[in-house]
Amino acid sequence: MTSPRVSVRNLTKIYKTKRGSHVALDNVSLDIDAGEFVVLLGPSGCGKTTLLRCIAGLEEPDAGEIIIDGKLVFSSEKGVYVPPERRDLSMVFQSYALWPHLSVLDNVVYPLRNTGKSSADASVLAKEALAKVGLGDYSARFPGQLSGGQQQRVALARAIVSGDGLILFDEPLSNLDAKVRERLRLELLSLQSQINFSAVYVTHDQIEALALADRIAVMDVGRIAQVGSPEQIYDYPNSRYVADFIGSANEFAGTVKSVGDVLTVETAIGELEVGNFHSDLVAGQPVWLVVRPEHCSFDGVGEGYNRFSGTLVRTLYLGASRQHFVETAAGELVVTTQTPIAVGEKEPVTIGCAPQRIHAFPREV
Amino acid sequence: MSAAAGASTANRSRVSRLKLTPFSTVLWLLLLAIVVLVVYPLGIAIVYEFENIVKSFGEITNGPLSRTVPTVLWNTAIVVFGATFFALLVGSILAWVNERSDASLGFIGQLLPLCALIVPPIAGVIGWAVLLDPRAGLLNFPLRQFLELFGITSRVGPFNIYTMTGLVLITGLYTVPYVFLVVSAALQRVDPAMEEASRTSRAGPLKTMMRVTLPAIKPAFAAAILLGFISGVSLFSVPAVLGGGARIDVISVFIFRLLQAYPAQTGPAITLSIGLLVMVQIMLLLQNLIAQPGRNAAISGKGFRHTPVRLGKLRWLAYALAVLYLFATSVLPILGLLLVSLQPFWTPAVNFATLTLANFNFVLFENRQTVSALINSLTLGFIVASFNMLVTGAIALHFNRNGVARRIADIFTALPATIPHTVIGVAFILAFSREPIRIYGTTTILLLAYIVMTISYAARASASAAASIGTELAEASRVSKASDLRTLWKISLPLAMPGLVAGWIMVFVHTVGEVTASAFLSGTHNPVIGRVLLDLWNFGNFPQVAALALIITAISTTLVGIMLFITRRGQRTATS
Ligand SMILES: Nc1ncnc2c1ncn2[C@@H]1O[C@H](COP(=O)(O)OP(=O)(O)OP(=O)(O)O)[C@@H](O)[C@H]1O
Ligand SMILES: [Mg+2]
Repeated sequence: MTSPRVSVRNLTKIYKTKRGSHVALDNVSLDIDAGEFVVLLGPSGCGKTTLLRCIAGLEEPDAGEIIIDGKLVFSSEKGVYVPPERRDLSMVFQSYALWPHLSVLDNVVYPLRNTGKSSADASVLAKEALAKVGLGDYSARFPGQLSGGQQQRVALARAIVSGDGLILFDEPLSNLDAKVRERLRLELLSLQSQINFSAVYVTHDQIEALALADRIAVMDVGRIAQVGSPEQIYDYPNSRYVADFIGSANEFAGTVKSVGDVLTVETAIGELEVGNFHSDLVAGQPVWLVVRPEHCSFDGVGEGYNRFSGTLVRTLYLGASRQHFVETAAGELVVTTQTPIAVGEKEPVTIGCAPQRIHAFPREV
Repeated sequence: MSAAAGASTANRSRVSRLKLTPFSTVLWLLLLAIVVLVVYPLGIAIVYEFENIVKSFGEITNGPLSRTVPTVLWNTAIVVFGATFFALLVGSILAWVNERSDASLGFIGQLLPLCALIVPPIAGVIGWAVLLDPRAGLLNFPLRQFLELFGITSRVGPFNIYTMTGLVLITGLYTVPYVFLVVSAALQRVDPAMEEASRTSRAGPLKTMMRVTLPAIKPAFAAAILLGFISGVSLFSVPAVLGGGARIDVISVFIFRLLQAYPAQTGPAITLSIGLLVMVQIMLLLQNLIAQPGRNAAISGKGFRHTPVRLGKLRWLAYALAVLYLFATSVLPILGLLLVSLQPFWTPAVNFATLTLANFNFVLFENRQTVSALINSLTLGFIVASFNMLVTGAIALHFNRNGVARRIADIFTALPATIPHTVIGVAFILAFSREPIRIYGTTTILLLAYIVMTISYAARASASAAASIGTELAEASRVSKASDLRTLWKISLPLAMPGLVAGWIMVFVHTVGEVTASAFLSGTHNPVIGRVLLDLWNFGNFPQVAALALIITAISTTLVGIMLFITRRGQRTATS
């Protein structure tokens, strides 16, 4: 069995401020395998940056352990703390963090010189790295003379040049406009398949997360809510929080009527059959039902589908798809379709959705 | 593993803890020495002079001083209030014009806050004295000739600088930059959307200013007033030059006279110094209360661009005011000094045939006192600026910005700024003229006093130089496998260099132009420019005074020019 490149065990980080202490990470554990691209996804302030900085050594956690390539770099119990310069990793910052007084080449050479490479070797390697990110001709320029996208490429070159094979990214694309962001996203992926580095990538853009990740770790305030492949996270969220955070979701309250192969749930729009549920649900328990807009439909109502009626309130045309707002007894519901529908606004509609597309999560009352 | 763990403990301080490395130990020791330099003289002076202090209460309340002290306090109050009022008026109008109107002052706006650096106040006030001396004033003389055309003849006037009005106005001139800076900063932070919302709610520009802008920056006004008070009560050079002729004593000069009297009246001097110190501390406390963040919730902290208010014809008035101010603080006094310095002796009727450079020659090469004063002041300026910038620069760059170590260091370095120079002068005299540390009359005492007096400037300059770098650049260096000290050397220091050089120049210029502590601590054995200027003035060697004042003005102006050049270039590279 190969051991993971990075192993984070029970990490806790508490910030002490004037107004008291704030638990930024609460007992977080996460493994990153060799060549794996792990995305940390979560709302603002949930502790993504903090986790990344703890791995980098820029922040000292209060409890737990971090192991990088089998080497213990932090342990609260053993009193081990290895400073950032002696951890074999590199980092790409949201603000690029290029040094304005050094040329592009010198920026990329810098990490190599710090590890004792001769200046000739370092220069050759740095030029290779710059060529890989498509900036071979820019080595004599200064960061101030580059566009945002080019600056972030330099930062990328600086991160891959040392060849550690572990790169931490903190929202590297969020300062760029949408087109550049998409292109860099693709380049990042092809770079990763070329040199096969492991990545921990922080973002709060779910599209970016789904596109880049081998695995996504969805974070809630200070803890990891779910880890899994993009498909697992999207199709099989393990909590209402994750379902809500990734994509959009219709939610309605109900009460479990009976538990069998499928769950039968009593709701304001009638009895619904639910295919996704945790086995410890019992009859009589209040639940939230969650279903994604694109998993509901007006026409393709197949065998065994749940069916309920409502009134079409409004349709928004979004280019690639259409978003329909339907008033039902359980509140407003959104349905997304690829093709136009034959129903006009204010007219009654019937909605169908497959039981295996509906998720049930316990509801506190 | 254990080797890595052992070596790593040394680096912990960087991240969160207050652990000592050899480098930080040195920094702490230096800081401690500076704190001792503030606390020790004051403490010793109070301990040794305790009986005299107690006795002086009697002298002040119903003894020989009971007549003079109230007058002195009253004079001080008039000067301080008058000067602050003048500065508030001129400074905030200029700030508003610069920040909000289409008469943006551009380069002049940048120069305004630097006036007191470009022309040291001591040179400025001497310049005004030679312009508006009632008899020999270089401006008064042509004015009298002009008035004679209308049949008005007089041997004196029409203006007399040696009056309360003169004292107030000249003090006010040098208080304007404080107000300008504080009000400008506040205006920059007011969200223009607030003002635009008022304009779209049908309020005109004037109403908007009165109802929206001014209330939003009220705390800044309060802070500016207090700053004006603090600088006013501590200002020494202006009353020292003008007060003699006007027979008006203010507190800082009065304390000086008490110590110069024979026998020296140390008791009242230190009692009044402590009073001064307490007053300043109270004002600082008030200012901190007012400057509480969150008190001005309307201010949103981003740098916005405003649609400027159209001034129309008034624009020229605004320009005129700004130019007039620059003339009053720099151009006119320099011209006055120049004319006097080129004359064999000071006469108001300038005979251009007799103009000579002899005074410069004499001051620069022949007069032992001025030559050694120049050498001493420049050497001291160099040492003080280098030492202070080195220490504060290392602190600002080495200690993590939000760390405990940095906060403690900030408190230490900010402490001396809260003590008026007069008080430092008095405490140093009393503490260092006796065993165990007997250094009164040496250049060492001046060196120590200057270090204490300018460390806060240096710390502020270093902090802003360090803050302009941003933490991520240093962090990027750490994850690029550079150690702590290597990051400091390769990344932080080069990036902070322009700011540090600017700070160096500021400290140097302040030291060379310093008058207060120089008057107290310098003498024939350790002359410095500030003291020698006052002496020459009091002995009536006016052409030499003018020449010496011009020389330090030239040095200051050149250095400030270099500083502007460096900081502007720094801004360009940062934003391009
Ligand atoms: N130096 C600090 N001192 C005190 N609290 C901090 C500090 N840094 C972060 N925090 C707090 O810790 C929490 C987590 O912060 P963190 O920067 O990790 O969030 P994030 O998930 O990266 O958010 P974002 O998406 O906005 O970047 C936040 O509530 C933040 O306020
Ligand atoms: Mg973040």
